[in-house]
Amino acid sequence: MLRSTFCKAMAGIIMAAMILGIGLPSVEAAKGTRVSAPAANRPAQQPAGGNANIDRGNIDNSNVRIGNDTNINIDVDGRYGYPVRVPPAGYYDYDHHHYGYSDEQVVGAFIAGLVIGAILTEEPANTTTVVVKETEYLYDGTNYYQPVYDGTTVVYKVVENPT
Amino acid sequence: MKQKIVVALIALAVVAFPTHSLFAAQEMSNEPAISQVETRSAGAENLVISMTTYMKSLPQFYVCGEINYDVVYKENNKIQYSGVFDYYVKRPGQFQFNAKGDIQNTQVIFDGKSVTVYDANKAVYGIIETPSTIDGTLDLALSEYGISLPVLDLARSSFGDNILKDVKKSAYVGLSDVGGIACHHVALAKENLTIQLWIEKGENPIPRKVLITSKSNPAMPSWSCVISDWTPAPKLYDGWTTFVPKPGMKKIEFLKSSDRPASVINYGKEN
Repeated sequence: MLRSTFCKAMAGIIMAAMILGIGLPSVEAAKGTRVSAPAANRPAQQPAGGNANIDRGNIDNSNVRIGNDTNINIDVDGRYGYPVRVPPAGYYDYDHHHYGYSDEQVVGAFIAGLVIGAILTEEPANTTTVVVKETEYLYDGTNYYQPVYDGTTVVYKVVENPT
Repeated sequence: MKQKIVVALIALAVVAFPTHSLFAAQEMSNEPAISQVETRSAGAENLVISMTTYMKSLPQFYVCGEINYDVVYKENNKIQYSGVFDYYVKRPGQFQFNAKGDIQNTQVIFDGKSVTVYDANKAVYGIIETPSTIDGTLDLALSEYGISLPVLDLARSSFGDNILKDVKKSAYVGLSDVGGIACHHVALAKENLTIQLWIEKGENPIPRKVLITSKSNPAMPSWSCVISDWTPAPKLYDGWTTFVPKPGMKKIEFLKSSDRPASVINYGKEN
């Protein structure tokens, strides 16, 4: 799932840049570190407050046009609901493909602590929630993570101990 | 169908390769060639201009459909992901975009003062203060926060300018049905990508289909969007761009461009 969200974000950035005719932002040129550890597929259950069918508020779709001039009542939410999917893990061949760090460095970083400001594109495992001044952090016994948006993708930023 | 595929391949040859490739394609297929062999087709580009002029003339609109896009993994292996979307726009400064698919379940709302991004899978939302216009907001969202959803660009006043900017070659491919709707098929080639547009024939020249292919990546990943339904008069009532967090939803911050990481450790995705 984390891989997927990151890839989605990258695809979005690439395509938006294509349409806009601009150069892609250089990941390598910015500061900090992005880390994506291999992880399980996306969660099957919605978290508290989750809403599988997004509330569109005060919108009436009854006059939506299909084709040239046909008025129908579309069941917007009813079209959704097909299962999420990711390719088999073997397809990724992710054991030896990463940037900047060796496998040993990655493992060492998770054990000894990640660099403050590093970004994980997938939710870290085995964490507990810590709330400090109304901000929620995840804590895995070594690192504190703050969920943040990178574009429209939720990533996890390694932060100082907020307590 | 087969004939259509052959014509499409010819179109790709024209936009991707020098003129001699066109002749090679003609010899092999004996199919009708694209309507011209000039480097750029004024007719094709005028169709793009007509499309964008029409879109800009709509004070409000609604579109919905499907998006497909490739993600490139190691050894140039591609996976295509899909999703459906709907997009409500009211000029000069409101929109609501909803997308749900293989990867994300996201809502983006602009109320003229701020943009709210809501992730329904994770039950989190974030808010950024923005300019009052759609153009200014999309520029800021992309440059400062990396919010880049190509469908949102349908509401840009500069939509057509961006499509035609730096075009090296263009061609009118012919008429083509998209979901039973007769469309003009137009191909545009830039240095590192090609854009194909299927523009509805007739009084409502909206883009029924868009296909963008990267030429800079050896796997040549594509992004496509098909607009299946639309209306120039969506029924939008007070509060349609008001986001009200529900119990359990959590507010989070955005990474700014200056906070983005220097190096990437990302397993599986191709360089």
